Amino acid sequence: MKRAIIISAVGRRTLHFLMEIGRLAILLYRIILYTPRLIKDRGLIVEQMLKMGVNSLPLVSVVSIFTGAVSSWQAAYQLQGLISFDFLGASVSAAIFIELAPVLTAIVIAGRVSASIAAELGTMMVTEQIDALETLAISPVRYLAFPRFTAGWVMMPILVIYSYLVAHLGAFFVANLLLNIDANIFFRSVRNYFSVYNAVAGLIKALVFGAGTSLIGCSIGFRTRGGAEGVGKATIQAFVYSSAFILISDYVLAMILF
Amino acid sequence: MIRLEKLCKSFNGHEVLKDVSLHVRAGETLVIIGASGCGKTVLLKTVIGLIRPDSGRVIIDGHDLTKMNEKSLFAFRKYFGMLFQGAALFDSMSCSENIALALKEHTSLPGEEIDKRVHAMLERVGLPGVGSKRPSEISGGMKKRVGLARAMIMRPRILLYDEPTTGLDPLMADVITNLINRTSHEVSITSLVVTHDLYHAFRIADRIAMMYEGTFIAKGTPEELFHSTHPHVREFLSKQPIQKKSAGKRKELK
Repeated sequence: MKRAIIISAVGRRTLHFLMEIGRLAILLYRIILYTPRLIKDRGLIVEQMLKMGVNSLPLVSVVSIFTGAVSSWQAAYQLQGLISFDFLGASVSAAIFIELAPVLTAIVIAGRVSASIAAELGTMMVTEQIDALETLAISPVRYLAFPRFTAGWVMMPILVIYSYLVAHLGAFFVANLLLNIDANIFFRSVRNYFSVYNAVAGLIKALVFGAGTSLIGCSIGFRTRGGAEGVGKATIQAFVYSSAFILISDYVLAMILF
Repeated sequence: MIRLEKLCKSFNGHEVLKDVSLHVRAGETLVIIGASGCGKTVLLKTVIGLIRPDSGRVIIDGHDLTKMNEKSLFAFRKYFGMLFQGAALFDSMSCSENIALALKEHTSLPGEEIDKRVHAMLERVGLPGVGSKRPSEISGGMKKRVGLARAMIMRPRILLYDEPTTGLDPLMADVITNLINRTSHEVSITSLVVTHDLYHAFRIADRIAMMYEGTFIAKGTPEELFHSTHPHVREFLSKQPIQKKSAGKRKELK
């Protein structure tokens, strides 16, 4: 009896997961169909890019500078007595390019953007604004999801490039001010071991994270029901699903790219 | 103009529409009355294709909406305008932007012409000067009038009203009723109105249909419905004594 209950619960969860993937795939397909509208709808896309990108800069700055700082300090702690601190810049830089900047920026954006997309579209859903859009013969997928999705995958790599720079600065400040590593030594180490492939791989990750988190936000927003409580649930769900997506896809991409 | 044939719709096993059939003639105002939760709004949303029926057909000018793909449905919706119960104005836009949206999306009119039309529409609904305000800055009655302006801006042939007077004070409800009457008379729009406000239903209707538990139990002119002997109709009409005074006094314009 107990075993049957467990099997049934696992089955239900699996079905729910597969349905969720199916819904995302259908929404993605419907969004892609609007790609020819890229130029015509540039106003809507730019508006979303500003919302997602420019407004996220303060948060990304704080996260990146401390990520760089802490990784520099931790690397110094781990390398102490093993190898020279001349290699500190290189080791911190590789971690920033491959993992820290793309993943941490994406998780911050998942909290800020994916959840806010779900809350915004969810509120529109429960107050019949999305129905109203349809009655005006305007597709909500084109008018709402397409600009948000496009802004998501375009802006995330740009934010990650910004994060690369700020995180390196954070790492440098700690290395220079607290560990007394000369600026020349730090940046020479970064430059000598810099790999274009690592930087591009980080940007590919960022692109996938940006597309995924905005798609999840839109999909959950469009399915919101049940007033303010429903909007609250949708917001939390968008953040949880987006964060899980980032971590799982990060692992998959690491397997593929490295 | 609008023909509904044997529409059925269920949600989670609960039958909301049961074999609903209805014919709305071109240019007439048909009011659907009934208690809350009897399926009126679901029917209205089915007419405009927001809800797909489980079975049955929605035929507008000979075209079956239930068979249309998304692209054709969106093209066909340009014939429609709809006023929602809560107005459903886009709260990220000003009132003017709400009204102008359809013109910007579906026409190549220059900005000046769009502004002129929006201004004229705001005057028509008695709200000149509120264009720059956000929906959160105006009252419920004003929202409904902006919603009506938005619904009419593309000069639709069919207007759907979902509880147009619900939640408004009597004076504001009269303003909306007069607007609906004026619209029907002056522009000859086919109107389908869903309400449980009998006083105003009898003032605007050419014909009235009463829904009960997902199906129509009575249809006819206001006079015919007023004299119906159906027990559910009698019971429903008796709950609002004001309707007796207004029966037969339809379409009074101030």
